[in-house]
Amino acid sequence: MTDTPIKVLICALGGEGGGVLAEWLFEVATRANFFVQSTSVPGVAQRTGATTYYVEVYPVAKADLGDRRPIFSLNPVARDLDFLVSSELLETARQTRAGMVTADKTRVLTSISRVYTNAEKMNLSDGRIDSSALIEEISQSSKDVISFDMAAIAAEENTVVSAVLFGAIAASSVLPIPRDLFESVIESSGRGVQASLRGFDRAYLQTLSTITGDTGDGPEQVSLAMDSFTASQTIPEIGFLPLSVQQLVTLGIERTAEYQNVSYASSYTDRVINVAKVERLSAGGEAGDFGVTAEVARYLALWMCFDDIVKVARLKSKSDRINRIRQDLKADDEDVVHVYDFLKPGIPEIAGLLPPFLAAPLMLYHRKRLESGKRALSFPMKLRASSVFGYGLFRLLGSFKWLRTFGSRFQEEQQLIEQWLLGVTASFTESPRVAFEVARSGRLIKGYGSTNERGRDNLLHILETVLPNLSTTETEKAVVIRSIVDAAQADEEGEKFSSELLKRKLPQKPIVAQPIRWYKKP
Amino acid sequence: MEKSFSKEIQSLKLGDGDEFQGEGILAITKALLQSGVSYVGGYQGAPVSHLLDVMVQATEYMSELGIHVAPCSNEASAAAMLGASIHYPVRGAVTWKSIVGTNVAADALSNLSSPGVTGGAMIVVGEDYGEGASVIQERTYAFALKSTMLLIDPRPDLQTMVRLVEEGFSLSEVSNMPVMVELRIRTCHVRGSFKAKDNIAPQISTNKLMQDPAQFDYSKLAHPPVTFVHEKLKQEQRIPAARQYIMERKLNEVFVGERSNIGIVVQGGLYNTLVRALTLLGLSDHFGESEIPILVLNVIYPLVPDELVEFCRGKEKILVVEEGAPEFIELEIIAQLSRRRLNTQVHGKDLFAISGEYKVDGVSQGVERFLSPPDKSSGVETELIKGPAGQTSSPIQPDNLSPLPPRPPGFCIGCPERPVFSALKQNQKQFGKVHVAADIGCHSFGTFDPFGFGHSILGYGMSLASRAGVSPMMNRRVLSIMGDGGFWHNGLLTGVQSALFNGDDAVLIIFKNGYTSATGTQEIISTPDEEVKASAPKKQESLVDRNKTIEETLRGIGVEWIRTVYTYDVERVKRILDEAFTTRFDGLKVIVAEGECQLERQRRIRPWIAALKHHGERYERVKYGIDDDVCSGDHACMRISGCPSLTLKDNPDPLKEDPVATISDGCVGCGLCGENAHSATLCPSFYRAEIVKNPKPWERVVNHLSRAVMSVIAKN
Repeated sequence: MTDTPIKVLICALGGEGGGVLAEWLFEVATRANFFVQSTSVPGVAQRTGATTYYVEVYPVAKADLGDRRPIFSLNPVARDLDFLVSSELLETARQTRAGMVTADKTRVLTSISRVYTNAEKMNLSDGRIDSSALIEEISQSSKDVISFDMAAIAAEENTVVSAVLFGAIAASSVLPIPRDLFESVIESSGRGVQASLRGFDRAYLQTLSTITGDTGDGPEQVSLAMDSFTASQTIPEIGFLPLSVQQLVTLGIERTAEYQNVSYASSYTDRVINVAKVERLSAGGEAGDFGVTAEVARYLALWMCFDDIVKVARLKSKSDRINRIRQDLKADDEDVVHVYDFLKPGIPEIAGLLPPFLAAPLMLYHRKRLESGKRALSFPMKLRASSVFGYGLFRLLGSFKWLRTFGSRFQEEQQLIEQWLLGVTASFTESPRVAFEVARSGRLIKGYGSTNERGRDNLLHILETVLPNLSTTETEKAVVIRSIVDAAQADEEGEKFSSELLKRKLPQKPIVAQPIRWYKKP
Repeated sequence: MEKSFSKEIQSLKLGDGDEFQGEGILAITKALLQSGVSYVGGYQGAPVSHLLDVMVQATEYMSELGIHVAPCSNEASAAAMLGASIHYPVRGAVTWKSIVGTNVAADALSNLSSPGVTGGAMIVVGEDYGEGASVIQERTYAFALKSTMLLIDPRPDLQTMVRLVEEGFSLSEVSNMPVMVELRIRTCHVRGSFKAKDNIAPQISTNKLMQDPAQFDYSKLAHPPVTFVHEKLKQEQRIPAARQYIMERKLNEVFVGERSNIGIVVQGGLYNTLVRALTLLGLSDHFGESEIPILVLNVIYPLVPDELVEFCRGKEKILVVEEGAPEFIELEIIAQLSRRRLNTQVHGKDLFAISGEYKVDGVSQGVERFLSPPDKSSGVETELIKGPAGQTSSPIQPDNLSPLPPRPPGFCIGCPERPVFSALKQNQKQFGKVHVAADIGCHSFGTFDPFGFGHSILGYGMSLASRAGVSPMMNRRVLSIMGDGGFWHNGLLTGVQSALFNGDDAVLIIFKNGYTSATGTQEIISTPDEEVKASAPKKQESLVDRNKTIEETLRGIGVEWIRTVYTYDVERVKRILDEAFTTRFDGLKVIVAEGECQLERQRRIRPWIAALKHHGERYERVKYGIDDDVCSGDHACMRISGCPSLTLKDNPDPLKEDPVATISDGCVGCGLCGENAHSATLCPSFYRAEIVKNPKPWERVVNHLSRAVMSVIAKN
């Protein structure tokens, strides 16, 4: 017999069913004949924000207490929590850092699934918080952790995450209440009972096996396609590279061949081998890890397969695409699925496919238009890819691969690629670390339209202006380049990039006139 | 309305001896019925929305009892409703969120308190203070003090809360003072139980009408010269009467303890927090058996000097546990003890945080300081103790950990207000920044990532008024944003009328989503009619365009420049914003941004789809998607959306490192992604998928044919 309540804090996101879970916990404790209290602070957090629910249960039968009633706290108390239950990993970490979780006392039951915050999503590259670091932090702070992907179970069983959490709580034996009482609460809840019970059951079993250590699996790792790579796929010319680099190069070769043709792929191979040779030479002919070559192999493949109308059309008309979408929608065979694509080719995209003598006047018109404050001319289309016409059009556009090599864009890209590669190989004279950072700056090239332009301008600035003006030690040089490349990906407006350059006393990008038409009172 | 209360309505009907189980605010609702109220009004807002919501949904039962229930247009209108209890022996209750609602109601409350009431008049205020609060951090206490209203702050135990409501009506009648019952956020949402009593059908009601109006009585008017008499009555008759009743009925509770030389005086609402703090210090058990005697003030205004003196007699020192600043209760106790020449030392704010919500940690530290006072020479006693900076208690932020991103509330999936902010963000890139006067409502989420719009918030419906001093001083036009809730709450008068009267050059967006959505989608005068909803052939469509009350009101009052736009048409929203900012029309320009609250649409769609599914009839579902291999990984789409269903996943391409955008199953197919893809020239990875379930025979045939042709094309 205990003389203290069991204290449970539930972290949830608004609209996710945390309130239902708290209600169920209240109900199950009442049915077990315990005194119980739950509280919450939903307010506007109901609209997708982070919120918590707090439950206290006095685990002694009411009858044994006579006319005494326990006084429950309305707030969770730091360092005095038995159980933290959470449907989202970041929120678990938030409460852990708020001091709610203590190593001598608190057991944590958390989903490892993430619902990303806007701050993470807005990042130009990857702003996600590292989940494994969060799990590590939580396990260090708590007595023990039961963690698995509860959102996945909820989705698979077509139920709500509260049912899954409820099952996990039942199995965790934090509350001295038998399983069938938990299930009876779900049964009388009225809606989606069967699905809830399935989710409950799976979480129950998963929790038991996690506690007894049956599975032993950590959180599922993201498997890269290259895991299936075997040595038999190797290409003799690149046989001198470490296997992991060979994998990248092989992918690059396949990608460039599919993008254009075999001879384009072999020019990719040549470019990579050229860098690899320089790298080997700089390492004094030693084998080394070919770190720079690996970076080049990755970004070169992506750059050489730059995005244009032809590529998009080919991707959009891949033979398995519609089936993939049907699967994603869980469509049955007899269901009809219509797919519409949103495209908006503009002058630069069209000009890119035309030879320079035709592209030049078009681009001149385009720039004039922008300078005069007008919107760029473009052609918004909502194309039905699931119709014969739409699909046929994509196939037709996709067949214009041959046109690409004559196009102005193709030639420009090849020049820029050479400039970058030259920058990489030349940097070996400084140090392999500097070469590595220059190779890594290839990540700035991605996407379409303004995204692509911004990345290209930043990369050019780094190659043409930053590198020649760097006058620090070799090790510091590498650090500076990395910080500038990272800054280039911080925001769309280039504020971080500019301030980073300022901090390093490096020349700024030339100011480009940006046509903003200020609203003015007439 | 967002929530259905069918289950809760049943528990409101419980009778003598039944056990009521549920939320604090519903226990209060039940207590009103047990007290025999004749009328109930109020304005929705967390944490007290449920009181009115459940009564509105229980129309049938309310009319059976003869209770009049009115969701009012604002808190002033609710407060004025209590005027019924001035002349007539009818009990009435109103409710709202405080401090904001009390601010709005203040005029009527003063005018109610001055003549005083005959029938019990109760104001249930949700004290939106501390963690989870969405308003400015001020306490209601000052209002009770200045207008001489009773203020009850009950111990957060359902049985006690119910008792205090019942006693509160009698107290109001005995003293002629209106009574406020303040409930903190967690108290409103606390789930517990109490022994119910039968409800009382009021003696004067919609079923038992009064035959004649009261006699004319000048003293019941808040008008000179009787206001001077009222002022005297308050101090000389009403407060003494109240004090006597509080003493007689033992509304404040004393819990004895063995250490009789000291004591603690606590606001009722903080009692549980105090007990837990004492328990953790080993000074109490979990049943409230404390070593230190405790006086629980369930009525915090007026205080009862005799009771205080009685409690303090023979004590060296007492500790006052009172939340917020200034310390009204503590100062009053000091004054009372001093006048009675008692030597008991009074501690409180010298040992507790000067501001902020009182939680267990802070209270237990204060109690510790009280029990073992620091050396006087150290000067600690004069030092201010700072309250918690944020919402969490004792945050631990190790230096080597990167900060966790915040997760404030945001627009729901498919929210019709999001597209307007997308358009505004795109427009500002092209046309420069504008001053945005923001307002209260869901649209205030536009102040968060990824939008960050709004220079000021001056109150509910105040955006247009709050720009009146800015726009004459600025070279560019200023944008005011208001919801339809705020428009009807007071924006029409304080904003629109004032701008018209002064001939102001102003731009106003009114979000016409049809409900006061932030508070739980309660209905307003411009909500589409039930008939319209019932007869709409396509339930997924926005129906707010079917109610033109806002447009007609605007025209009627004299607004000449009105544009109505369907918010999901982002390109058109951009064009209209552009026009409003550049037109030569020198007056008030109103953009009515239409799109029905998605929560309400989903509430309509779900049963409709379920029925079609059940009968094997044709229905569609729309979901947007993203091609992984086309997505550029730049996330430009997220920076103009912020939709929870538009999120990230690992890049399946082993060559690419940046995560790709993906659209989760939560997508309701609102169409914004497609609109943004076009209007902001995003990457061509977005697609719209329409899945037709139980298609018509001809659809199947066309589908099979075209799929056959496509597979032929694919092979060539």
